[in-house]
Amino acid sequence: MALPLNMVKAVYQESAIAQYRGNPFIEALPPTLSLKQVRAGLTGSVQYDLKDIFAEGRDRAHMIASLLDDFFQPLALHVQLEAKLSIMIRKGYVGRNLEDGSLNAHMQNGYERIMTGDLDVFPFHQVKSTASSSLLIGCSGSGKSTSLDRILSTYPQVIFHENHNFTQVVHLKVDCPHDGSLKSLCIHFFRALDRVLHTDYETKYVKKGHGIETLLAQMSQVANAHAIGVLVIDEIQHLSRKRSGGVEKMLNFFVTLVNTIGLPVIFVGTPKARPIFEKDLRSGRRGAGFGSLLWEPMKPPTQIIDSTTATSRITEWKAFTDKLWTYQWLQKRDEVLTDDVRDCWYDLSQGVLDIVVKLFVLAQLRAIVTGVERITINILNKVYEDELKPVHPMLAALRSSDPERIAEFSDLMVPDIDNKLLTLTAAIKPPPSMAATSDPYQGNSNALRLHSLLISMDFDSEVIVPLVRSVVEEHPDLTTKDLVSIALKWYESDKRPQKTRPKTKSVPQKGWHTLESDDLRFMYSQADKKSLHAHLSKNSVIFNLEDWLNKTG
Amino acid sequence: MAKRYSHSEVTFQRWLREGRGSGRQDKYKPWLTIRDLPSQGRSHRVFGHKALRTHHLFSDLELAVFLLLEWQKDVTEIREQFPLQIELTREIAETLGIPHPAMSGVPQYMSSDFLVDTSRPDEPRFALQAKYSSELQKPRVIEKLELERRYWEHKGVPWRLITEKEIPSTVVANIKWLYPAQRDDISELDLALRTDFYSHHFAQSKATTLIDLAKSLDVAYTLSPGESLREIRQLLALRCFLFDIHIAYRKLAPIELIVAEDTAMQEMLHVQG
Repeated sequence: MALPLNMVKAVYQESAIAQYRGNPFIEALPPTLSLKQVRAGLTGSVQYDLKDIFAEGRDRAHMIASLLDDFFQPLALHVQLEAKLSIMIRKGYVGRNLEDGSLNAHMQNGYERIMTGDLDVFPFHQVKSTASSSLLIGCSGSGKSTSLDRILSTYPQVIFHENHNFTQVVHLKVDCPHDGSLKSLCIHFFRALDRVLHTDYETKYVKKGHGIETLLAQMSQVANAHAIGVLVIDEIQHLSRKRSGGVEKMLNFFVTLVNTIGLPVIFVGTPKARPIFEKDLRSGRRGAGFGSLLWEPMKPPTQIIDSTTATSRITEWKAFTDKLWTYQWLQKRDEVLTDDVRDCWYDLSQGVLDIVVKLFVLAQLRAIVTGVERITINILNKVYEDELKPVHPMLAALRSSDPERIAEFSDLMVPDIDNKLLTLTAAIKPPPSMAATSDPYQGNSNALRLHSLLISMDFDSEVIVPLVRSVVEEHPDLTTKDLVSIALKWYESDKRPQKTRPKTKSVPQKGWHTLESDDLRFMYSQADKKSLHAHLSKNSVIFNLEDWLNKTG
Repeated sequence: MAKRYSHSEVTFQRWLREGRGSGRQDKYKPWLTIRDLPSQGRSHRVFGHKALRTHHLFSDLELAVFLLLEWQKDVTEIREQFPLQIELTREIAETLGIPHPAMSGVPQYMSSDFLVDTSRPDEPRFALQAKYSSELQKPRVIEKLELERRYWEHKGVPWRLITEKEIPSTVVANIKWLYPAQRDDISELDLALRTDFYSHHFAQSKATTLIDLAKSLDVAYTLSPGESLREIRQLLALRCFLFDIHIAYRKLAPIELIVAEDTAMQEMLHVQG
């Protein structure tokens, strides 16, 4: 039988843990990952080639935009989540063994409940639920959904057990409908399952008159019939408190959900959803067994000094930004991220992962559009002001670190980045030098690449065209790498065409921001009237008199 | 009739023949003297104790920088208005896309305010340009500074900018007060004796200011008014006593003075005893 694409045939691997042994649901899962494997599995792969930084602006825009999807740097909290999830899935299966009949007991209970409509019926009293639940709270853009998706994708979603003729669903994710009620959440559960299994549960089970109780009983039955490993309910802050009958009722619903359907549930939401669980968290009752994970944005980049070695430890923020900083497609990029830029970056993004990355991507595009070709504090500020307006209230709330304000603004949507990308990309002008000469190499890509490489190395532009042309003509088979060395040799020797020094036009003030980073004119363009002196001091252009005087007594 | 300042090619040739911008120590001639430029603020001509020649300074800021440099013991030479090679500045200007400074079409020599030699191993020579910070607002000033920066970068000499914001005013006031006394010629023996004498009195009244103490000493020894203070100033200027130059001299008290541990002076005292 050909299985659907998202389904794999069960392959069993004996587990080392006694509790798990002999349980086909667990033994069909991939082996638990080591820390290193987890990191490798979560880390996104970004295609980055240093020579691409000389590609045309429009092409670079595409490469930069790929960061949005492909860049993922696992942090400690991601690894922690993976460990938690991996245990939850397996522990949840312990009480539901396909081999020893405990699954069937669960199913029988469920059947009774549906028939009697009473959720408290337990004909088989020995059935113990080993399910637990968890709560994950974090600001929008802190990477909750992304990391969950990445972690879950390390498991196959559907496993077919051939010798039991049983279809196991390892994980199922349900998004809360916007402004929905508890009932519509239940309906979404069936819909999500239908999408995975190509079944028709929604029409079969959901009838108009059914109340929440009935729906829960049916959900429980279906969940057991497919031995769902973990249920993820995302965006719970969308549930309308009004339409669900108050906080108390919602909490009761979640507790019942976990207890009756007997499978691990992870609730995911922004701090706005906290009031629902606040009671539970506060009373310490832990009725629903919510071990909660609170994801806070990355900590400010203060230096942590290791007391034992007295060296400064690398903070998570520093490690993250250093990693991201390597992905720059800019011609005048600063290789090392300075602390000024890093601090500004933090201040603007407040360590919210999504915003950190978006700010970086948009700043690069703007750097290409404006021809600055490097990321400066000015550019970061400008991008923040112009492109990230919708999230200003949220970031302001985070800056104030007032929990109430954070809860209020925490679920602001990060603006639709695609549009910004498009407008910025459209603003990128084709390089003027190539447009003016109307391609002197007749589309020879080797020659073009060589040309832009030499330009970027500050070669005399008058000489480059004839030089490149003759180099490529004489060695048509060589790669760009070899051509560069030949071109360099020729440039130095007499073989190069005699250069006629043209009168270089003076650089107008409005072009100063495209100059080298250490050029005073560039610094002038980056600072306003008041800050220029401070800016120059920082770049040690200003004589540090105090220091100098103090060096000798 | 207003004075005419000629900055033509002929003038430059004459200046070069005069040896401007060359020579060392007392033989050095600055590229520009205060007679070559129309006044733009207060010009100064100051005698330098290190080079034993007159230095030409074009503003109060330059004077302050000069005094600070001159005060530092490990500064060995200060060459002010040091000219930059015009061939090089013109070439740099062209590659940078900056118009070279010119007057009625004649390219002008550029100069750096100070070229300083020190006995410090980490930075034995550096160039300084003094500018009031308001000047930095002007794009043209920035362009010229960039030219100068590139020039010294090419020469491998550190180049820095200094503005009035870096100048501690008390330090300059102190140095101005002490500076004239640096020239006074006093025999080492006298210095040692006076150091001994004043150390004794300083120890007696630690908290009063030097000025008050000097007044009472004048009365006690029936000296002409100011005589004691003059001697104390000489001892400070010649560094027989050391103090933190950041404390204004008017508020200076004996408690802040340290006797210099000069071996020559100690020997002198020893012989005397």
